[in-house]
Amino acid sequence: MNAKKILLNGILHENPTFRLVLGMCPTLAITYQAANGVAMGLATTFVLVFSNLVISLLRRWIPDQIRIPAFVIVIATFVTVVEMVMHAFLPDLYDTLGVFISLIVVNCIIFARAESFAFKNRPFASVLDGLGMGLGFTLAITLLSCLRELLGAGTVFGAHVLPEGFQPMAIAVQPAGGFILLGLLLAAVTALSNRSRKEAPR
Amino acid sequence: MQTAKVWRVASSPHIHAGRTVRGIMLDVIVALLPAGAFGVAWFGVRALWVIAVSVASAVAWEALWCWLVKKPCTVGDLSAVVTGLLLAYNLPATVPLWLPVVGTGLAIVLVKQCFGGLGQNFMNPALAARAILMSSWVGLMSGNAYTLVDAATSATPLAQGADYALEALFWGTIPGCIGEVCKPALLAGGLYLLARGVISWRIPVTMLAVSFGLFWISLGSAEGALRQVLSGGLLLGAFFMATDYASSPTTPVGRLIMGAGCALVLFVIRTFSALPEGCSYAILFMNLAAPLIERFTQPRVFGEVKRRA
Amino acid sequence: MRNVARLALRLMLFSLAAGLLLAGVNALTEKPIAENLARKQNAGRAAVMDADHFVPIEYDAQAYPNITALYEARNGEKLAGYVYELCAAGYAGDVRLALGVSAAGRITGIAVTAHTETKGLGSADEAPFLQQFVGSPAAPDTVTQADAMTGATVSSNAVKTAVACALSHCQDALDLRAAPEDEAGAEAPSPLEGLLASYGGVQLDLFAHLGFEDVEAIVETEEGFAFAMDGGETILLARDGSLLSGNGAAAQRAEAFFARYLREVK
Repeated sequence: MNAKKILLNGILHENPTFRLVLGMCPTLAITYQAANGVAMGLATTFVLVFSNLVISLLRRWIPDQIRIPAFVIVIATFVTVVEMVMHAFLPDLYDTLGVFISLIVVNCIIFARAESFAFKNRPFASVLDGLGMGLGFTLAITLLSCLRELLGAGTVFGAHVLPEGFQPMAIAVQPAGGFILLGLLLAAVTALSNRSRKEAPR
Repeated sequence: MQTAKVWRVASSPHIHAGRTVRGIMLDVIVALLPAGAFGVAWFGVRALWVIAVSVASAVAWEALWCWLVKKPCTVGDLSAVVTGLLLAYNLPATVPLWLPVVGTGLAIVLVKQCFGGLGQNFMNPALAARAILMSSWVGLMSGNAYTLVDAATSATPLAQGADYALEALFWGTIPGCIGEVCKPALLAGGLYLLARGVISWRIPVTMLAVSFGLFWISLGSAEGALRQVLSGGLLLGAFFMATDYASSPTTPVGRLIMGAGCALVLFVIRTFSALPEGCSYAILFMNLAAPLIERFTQPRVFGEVKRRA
Repeated sequence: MRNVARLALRLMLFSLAAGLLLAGVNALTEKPIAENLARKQNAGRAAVMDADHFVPIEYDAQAYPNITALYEARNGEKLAGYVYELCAAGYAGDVRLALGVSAAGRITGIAVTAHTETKGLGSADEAPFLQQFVGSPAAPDTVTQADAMTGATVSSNAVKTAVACALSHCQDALDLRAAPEDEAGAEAPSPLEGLLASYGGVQLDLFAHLGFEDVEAIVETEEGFAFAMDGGETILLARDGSLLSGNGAAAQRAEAFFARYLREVK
């Protein structure tokens, strides 16, 4: 078990957004502002790490037939914790992200990692996997949201970086534009990874 | 006994009929010229600039794409020119000149080339680009002070656009997009294309007839219906945009369905929604439905026995 | 059967543990959440009216469906005005507003407190759109004459509906009427207001980038059109474009605008 390999896996080779194409719902819905991307990514990472940890710790006590409800209980608990904490201490962010915080429960990434990694591996490795996947997700959606905010509002994290004369492209901060930009990013990432695979055969 | 239609079937060798993509595109360009000429005359030199920039940038984007993917340059088939023209005709003359450049980039690179190039586009590229531009820069795209189907921000009588004389609507002495206002020019172009066999009569005729009928029923007066048919981009769309080969059905019945479908969607959009221009969305809608329509309107294969379920 | 019982028991244990954890977190976060909510509501009220405290009062919820709460705004014992908390159906959900009306019958402030709209509200368009209500008399005209936000018709209509409901309550239930010359001289009337005051009629919409940036406002009247040019001149044109009053370069610009965009209209 190579810690570095597990971590990097989630960020690069099996990036949940660009390679596994999981968790598309929040990716498209909230990435109209860079700050949202970071917040959602971090919330998801928190849930990923702790749910992976708990599921891995309990993997011998969860009978196979009821593993799905058990996963749901664990994931939903941690999502609710995140939601309550955000509502209490980060109310503005809570308002902005709204219902999508609760929707982290059905974020495919968490379920997929629970099923395919945490249930079959030791706690420490599961934590690393959750961390890697979460970071990969955060980086991916932050990149997308920076692009969308830049094109659609001329700002990045609220700071005006483009000249005054720039006419923002409103569709970039709407779902349709999100789809198109995500598609273009996916194409770019796939092209890059194909090229690197061709040039450096492993 | 009924006389069956005689189909002549011949095997190779065949002789080339002389049709090329370039030839067809040239026909379309010729058909589009009158509408554009009127647009320039009516809206001023600015319209000419928009058209020129649009065509030039469309060609440039196509050349750039071919260079990037290291394929032979397809600019010579003039399809980029047609796309540039059609996009320009769908813009108001008051747009800033960078707008058609962005628009043609979207049309050529995103909608056409990314999906397989000429003949593989699943939507009309010019219309898809226009829809994206419309969502992105609403203020710039409704540049004329009085659009015909209400889109003004204040509900003032003039801005509701019901007050244009029928003659003005027909001859095109009204505000609007560059290529969509002069109906005689568009009709002439459409008839030219029909005569040359470039387009089939089914889509435009059905589209115009069904929309006329629907508006007649809904508004109760033939004049009102005529007014609706002559407003907006319906004529331009019916002859030049809905008939795009790659994004419309090939079967005869399928084409009738598409024409009717476009008219229906247009009617719904114009009657029940606050959207300014229903025609582009209607055609795009039916573009998406075209593969399905085609699948269900395939003619019976000779000798095929229908299988009992 | 034994197996099912065993499985069910396991699940119950997991749920129990989860529930306990959540109860603990809830205990920790309950108070901050309630405080935030109260603070947000107060902030909404304070943003639209300057007052010490707010006293909730009764209103007819049936007759005024858009009102969710009504408060008297008081400075000490003196009545400063009223604050409405309103709710209207927007494009993608409810739009919640706070509206303040002074005891003298003028709108003191308006703020959007919650919405899930896609564009318009929350964008740069929101401030000028809301600003046009502030200072206006609490009468239904204020709403009908207001412009909407570009590309956000439904959201704008939601706000307008809510405000109209509140204002009709003002007129009918509270009987507030603004004194006509209440704020006369507070600031010079805008060119548009000047035109409307002098000639009546209805405002026409313009887009500055049409190349006529020197035209400040246009009003369509019975005789024709009144233009307010940015040099302060007022030009009157008849329905057929002929010059009724005004001269010089400003008149030529107005005529050029007419020739371009206001041609023969039936």
